[in-house]
Amino acid sequence: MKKSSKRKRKARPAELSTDLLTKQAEEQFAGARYKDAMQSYKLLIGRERRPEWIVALRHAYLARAEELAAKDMIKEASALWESMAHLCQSQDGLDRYLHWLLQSGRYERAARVLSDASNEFQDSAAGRDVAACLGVLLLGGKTELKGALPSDAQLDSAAAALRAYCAGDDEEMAAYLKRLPYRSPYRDLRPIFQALVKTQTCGGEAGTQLKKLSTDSIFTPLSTLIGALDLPEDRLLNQMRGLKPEEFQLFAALRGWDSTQIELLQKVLELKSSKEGVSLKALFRVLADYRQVIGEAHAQRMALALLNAYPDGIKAYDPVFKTLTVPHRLRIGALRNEQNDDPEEAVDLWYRCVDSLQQEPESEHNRLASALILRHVAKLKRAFMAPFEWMDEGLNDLGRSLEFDPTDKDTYLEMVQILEHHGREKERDRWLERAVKHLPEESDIILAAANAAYRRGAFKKAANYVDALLARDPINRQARGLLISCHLAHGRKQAVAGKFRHAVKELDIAMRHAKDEIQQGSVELTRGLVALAAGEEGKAAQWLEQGYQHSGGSAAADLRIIVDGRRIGISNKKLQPQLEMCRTKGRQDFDRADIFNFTDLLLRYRFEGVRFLTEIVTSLQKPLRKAAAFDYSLQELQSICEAFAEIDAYLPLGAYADKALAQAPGIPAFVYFDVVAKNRGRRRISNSDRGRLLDAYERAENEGDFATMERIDQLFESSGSFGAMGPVSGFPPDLGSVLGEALESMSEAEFAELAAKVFGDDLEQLFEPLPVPQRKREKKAHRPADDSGSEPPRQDELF
Amino acid sequence: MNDPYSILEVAESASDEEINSAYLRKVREYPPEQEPERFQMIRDAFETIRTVKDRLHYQLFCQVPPDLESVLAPVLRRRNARQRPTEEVLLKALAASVLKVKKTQQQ
Repeated sequence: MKKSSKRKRKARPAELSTDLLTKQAEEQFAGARYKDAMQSYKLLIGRERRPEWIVALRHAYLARAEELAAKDMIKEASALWESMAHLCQSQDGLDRYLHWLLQSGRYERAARVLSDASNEFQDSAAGRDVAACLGVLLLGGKTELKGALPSDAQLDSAAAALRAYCAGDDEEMAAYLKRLPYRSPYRDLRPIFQALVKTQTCGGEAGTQLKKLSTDSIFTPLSTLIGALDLPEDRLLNQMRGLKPEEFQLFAALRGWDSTQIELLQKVLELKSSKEGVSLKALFRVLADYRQVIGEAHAQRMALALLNAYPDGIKAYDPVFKTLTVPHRLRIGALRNEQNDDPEEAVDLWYRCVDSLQQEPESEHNRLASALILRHVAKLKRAFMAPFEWMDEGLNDLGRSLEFDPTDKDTYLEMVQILEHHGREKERDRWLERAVKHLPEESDIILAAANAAYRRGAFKKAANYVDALLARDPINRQARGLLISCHLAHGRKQAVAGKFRHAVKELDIAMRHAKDEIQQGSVELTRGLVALAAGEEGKAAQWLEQGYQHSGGSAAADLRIIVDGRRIGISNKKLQPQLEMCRTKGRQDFDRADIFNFTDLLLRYRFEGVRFLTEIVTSLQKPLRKAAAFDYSLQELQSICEAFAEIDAYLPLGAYADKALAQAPGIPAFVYFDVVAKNRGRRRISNSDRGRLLDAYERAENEGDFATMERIDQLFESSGSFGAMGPVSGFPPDLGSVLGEALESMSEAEFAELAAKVFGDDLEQLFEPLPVPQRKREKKAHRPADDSGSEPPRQDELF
Repeated sequence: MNDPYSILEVAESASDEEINSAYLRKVREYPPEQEPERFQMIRDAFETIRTVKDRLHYQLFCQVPPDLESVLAPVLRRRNARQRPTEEVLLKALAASVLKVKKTQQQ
C-alpha cells in the first residue's frame, strides 16, 4: 500500500466553504502570495459577486502586476492590469499601466488608452506626463503615434523651438517656447533649451536654468545630462556610465568630441560596465590602442606607471611605446618582489638598479634616483632585519645615499640620531660636519651640530653655532635654550677654575638671552651657586631664592641646585642649608607641569653626561610617585617613562608605566618599561616577563614601533637570553636547527651548565609547572641520542 | 582619479613653480570649506609631487596603478568647441531620456 494514500487529502480551494476560502484568500494576500490570492478571490466572486471581494481581487491583481514589473516582466504586468480592468471594471492604476505600455514599446496602445481615459486623468499630472512623453516620442521618430495622438499646437511649438535651437536661431527658439502655456506638458522644455544655449557660453548659468525644473519632471534625466557637461573628469566618467547610447551621442555632440574620442570613450564605458570591471591588462590595452587619442606622452607615462603593478605588460610595452631601460626593468622587478613579500630579493634588485643608474654617474637625475633607492632600501631592510643587524647595514645605505644627494636634511638627522643613540659619537660628529658643510643654513642641522658640540664640552663652538642660527631665526626657542645652557656651562667651567669674574661675565650674557622666567631662574640659580663657590653666602642666598621662585620652585629647581652645585664643586655641607632655605619658601608637592620640567631637565643633564642623577631622583621618589596620579596622555607618559628609564630610576618608572598600562593595556613601549622597572635593571628576566616582552615585540613589529623593538632586543641581548628569541623575526631562519645540532652534540653536564647560564634561577621555574612524565620527556629530549634505538629529538622541540 | 599630475592638471615635466600655481588654482576652484574631500585629494596630489625629489620618489616607488579616470583625463579634459547637436540626435536622446524616467519611477 502506498504511503501517500494513507494521508488525509487536503481540500481543494473549490471544495472549501465560503468562510474558509475568504479566510484563506485574506491570508494569501497578507502573506504576499498574490497569485494564490487572485485565484481564491476569483472563486469567491464565482460564487457571489460581493463588492468587497471585487476590491480585494483588484488589489491582488495590481500587487501581482507590480511584482512582475519589478522583475522586468513588463508585458506580463500589462496583461494582468488588462485582466483586472476587465474582471473588476476598474481603471485603478492606469498611470502604472501606461508606464508599462511605454516601457514595453506599445506607444500606440498607450496613446489610445490615454485618449480614452477620463478628462480628469488626462488633466492630472500623471496624464500630462504621459502626454508629454508620447509627444516627445512622436517627435523622436515614433511615427506610428501620428494617427493615435490628436493634433497638438503645444507639441508643434515645442518641435519648432527644438528645430530653431539646433539651427542656432536662439531668438526664434525663445519665441516658440514662450507660446507654451503654464500647464503645458512641454513647459519644462523652456529651461532645458535655455540651459542648452547657456552650455555653449557659460556653464554656470546653465545650472541656474536647470534648477527651475521640478525633480519629478520627465525631463530630469536630460537635465542631469546637461548638468554633467561641466563636471570634473573624475566624476564625468561615472556620470556617463548611466547614459543610454542615444544620450551618449547627444552628450558627445554637446562636448564637441570627435569620432576617435567617442570610440575610445565608448570602449571604456563598455569595459566599465562589464562584470569583470577594468582589469590592468584591459587598461594597458586601451593605452596601447588609443595612445594617439590619449596623447603619446600621457599614455606612455600611464603605461609605465601601470607596469609597477602589472609587470606582465613589459613584453607588450617595448614594441608599442619604447624599449624599457635596464634601471626601469630592475625597478619594476624590485617592486614586484616587494608586493610578493620577498624584500630580500627586492633589495638585491634595487642595488642592481643603483649600479645600473651609475653607468651615467654625471646625470643629476640618476644620482638623485640612486639616493632615493638607497634610502628606500634602508627602510625595506628594517622590515626583515633584527635591529642590531640593521644598524650597520642601514647606516651604510643611508651614508651611501648622501654621496649621491648630499643635501638631504632628513637623512643626516636620522643618521645622527641612530649614531647618538648607540654612542658612536665620533661618527656622529663626522656626519654632522658634512651636514653643516652642505646645509649651513638649515636650522635643524645647526641645532644638532650645536647640541653635539655642547655635549662634548665645546661650549664656545656650540654657542657660535646657535648664535648664527638665532641671527636668522630669533624666535627659535630650542636654540635660545641651548645658547643659555652654553653660557651657563662656560660660566660653571670658569667658576670651577676659580675665575669667578669671568664666570659672572658669562652669566650676564646668559641673562641677556633669557626671555622667560624659567630661563631667568636657571641663570639666577647658577649665579647663586657661583656666588656660594666664591664664598659670598649672602649674595648666594639672595640669587638662589630668587632663582628658585622664578624656576617655579619644586622639583626642577631642586634638581638644578643639586646637580649644578656639585658640578661647580660645592660640598653637600655647604649646599644643603641653602637648599633647605629655598625649599621652605617653595612648594612641597609637584604638579603636572613640575613633572614635565623635571623630566626635561633630567634628560638635559643625562645628555650633558651627568652621572649621579639616579640618586637625586631616588631622594625625590615619594612626590614623584604621588604625581603619577595626575591625568597624562599616553604620549606624555611615554616621555616621562623614557626619562626615568634613561637614568635607571626604576621606582618612579614603574609607577608611570603601570599608569599607562592601566590606561591602554599591552602597549609595547610600556610593557618594556614595566618589565625594566619590575626587574630593577637586573639582567635576569623571569619567564613570564620574557613572554610579555616577546608579545610586546611582536606587537611593536606589527605597529612599526622600531624603537621599542630595539629596546627589547637590547634587553634580551644584555640578559643573555638570546635563545629565547626564537620566534622573533630577524634571526636566521635556520637558527633553530643550528642550535639544535649544537645541543644534540652536548653531554648532559654541558647542557645543564648552558641551561643554568641561560635561564639562571628561572631554570626550576621553567620545568616546575610541567607534569612529571612530560618533564622527563623534556629532559630526555635534551640528551644526545643514545644507541637504544629511540628516536632522536625533533629539533624544534629544543626551543 | 589617483594620478597627482592629472588631479593638478600639470604635465610630468612641470616645474615646482608650475605645480605650485596649479595647486593654488585648484584650491581656489575647490575651496576646502565647500569641497573638503576634493580639496584633500588636491592637497595629497600636491604633497606627492611638490618637489623634484617628491616627483622622482613617486615615479620610482608608487605601486598604485593609475585608474581609468587618470588614464582618460586628457581626453575628458580636452576643451573642444561645443557644438549644437543635430535635430535627430537631440530628439532621439530626448525620447530615450523620457522613457528612462518612466522606468525609474516605476522602480
